[in-house]
Amino acid sequence: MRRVNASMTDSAVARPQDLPVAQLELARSPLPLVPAARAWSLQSLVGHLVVNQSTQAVQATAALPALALDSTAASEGVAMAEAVCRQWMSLQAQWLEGLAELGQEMAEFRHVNTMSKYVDQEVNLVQQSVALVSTQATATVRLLENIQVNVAWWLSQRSPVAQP
Amino acid sequence: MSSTSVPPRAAPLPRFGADLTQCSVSGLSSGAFMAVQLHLAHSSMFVGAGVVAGGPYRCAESFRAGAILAGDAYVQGALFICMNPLIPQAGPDPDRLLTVAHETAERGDIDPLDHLKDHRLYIFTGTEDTVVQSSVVFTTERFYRKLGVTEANLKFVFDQPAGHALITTNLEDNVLAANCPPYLNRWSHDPSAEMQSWTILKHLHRELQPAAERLSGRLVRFDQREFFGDEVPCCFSPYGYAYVPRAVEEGRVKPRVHVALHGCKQGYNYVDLTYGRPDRANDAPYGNRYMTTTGYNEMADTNGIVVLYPQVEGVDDGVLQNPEGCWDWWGYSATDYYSQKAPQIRTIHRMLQRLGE
Repeated sequence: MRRVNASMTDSAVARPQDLPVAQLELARSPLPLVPAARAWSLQSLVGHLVVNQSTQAVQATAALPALALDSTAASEGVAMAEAVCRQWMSLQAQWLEGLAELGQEMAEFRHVNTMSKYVDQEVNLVQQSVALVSTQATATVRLLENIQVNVAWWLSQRSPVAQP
Repeated sequence: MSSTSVPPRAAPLPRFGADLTQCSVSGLSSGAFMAVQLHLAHSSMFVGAGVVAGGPYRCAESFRAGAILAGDAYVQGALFICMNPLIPQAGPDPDRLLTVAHETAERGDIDPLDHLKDHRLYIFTGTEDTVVQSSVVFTTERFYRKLGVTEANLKFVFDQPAGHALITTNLEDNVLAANCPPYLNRWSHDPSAEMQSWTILKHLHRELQPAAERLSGRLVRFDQREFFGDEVPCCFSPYGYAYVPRAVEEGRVKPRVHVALHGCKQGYNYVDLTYGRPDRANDAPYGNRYMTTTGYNEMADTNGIVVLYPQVEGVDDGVLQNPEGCWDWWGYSATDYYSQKAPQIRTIHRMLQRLGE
């Protein structure tokens, strides 16, 4: 797929075989199977997540009695909560930085000589906005996974039955 | 990501009759994790290792019970236990990994661990590293101490305000605290500072001559494909590189070999991804910088050291999940990714054997 931009070096020369070649590539692609493949991938992931989280919940429950007698567990638990807060605030900071950069770019007046360059600039802003949202979404999900795995691992080290 | 066309063949890796009992290895990030694996797997060949922002042996397997499938558990372990634990207590456990290493050696999957007692270790973590938490690198240091590496032989640097990078003196590289590609940062305003690679080599090989101001040798491009054999390539790029000092090329010196392992996104043909697709319009040659500007070659030139730069590339085809061209330290290529039988370790070992012929 060509990137959308209006640079001087864009390949803009049309060749007669462009369309038939593209049609052939489309026909060869597994496009009709994509929705099924994505659905299977999601179903598989969700299935694993359900089993993983159930297992981790059992491990956490098994570790709870030991935690009550562990004098260091409380302080480590507080430290972990603080670490989560720091990570969350870092995410918020990245979000605000992204918004500030976007706002600054929107506010800048940039002269254009062609309509294609004007459209390119507008589309760039939209793409940057989408990229900011998607980066935040990915980072948030990653943080949630991080918390889940770290808490489960930390608890498992305190449970005599959870270690494999 | 790899190119879709088949690259032409390159010349084979030459033979230099290298002393294969005096090898050393170093790496950054995934290269550091792999350096630890290679070091333990073939410790009889090595005199030491340099670990820049890397974790201990097999740490990705810390929490097998974390997922129903081993592959899922190891990726989670790599990301959240070995790279970014929320607190040090949620990171790798060096005592447990020591037991795992002993069990692996007893099975004969790696060399006996007794070799490591006389080895020299350089371990580094920057206080500004936001990619691999410093607490993880502290466990690497504790792991090696538990293996018997002595205080005199272990140089652990943990107080420099550096980000996730190999540190250079190149003005073109990122500022010291940066955590972004090409993961090459420069020391700040310190005229006495030297290339981190020089510090590593001097520590591992002890009394070395000063680095060359002008290189006498040549950088050899060789075809890595002959070393795969019949195995799955496991992310190796078509070409690898080796710096060969002139004295070695002319047969005046029996060389030692240093294996320099790049980090993720630093292989010569790595192409960055934009929205999940390789952005070939902006093909950034990170790997050329790793093998030409990090200083290894200058120090090797005056000391009869051949520097081997094996190269891996990004693959994310639904089977192999390694889009950023990292070395395998969590099992994407094989379940025994940590042993002498691991595809990547075996391939590098074959390259070393060639240099020793």
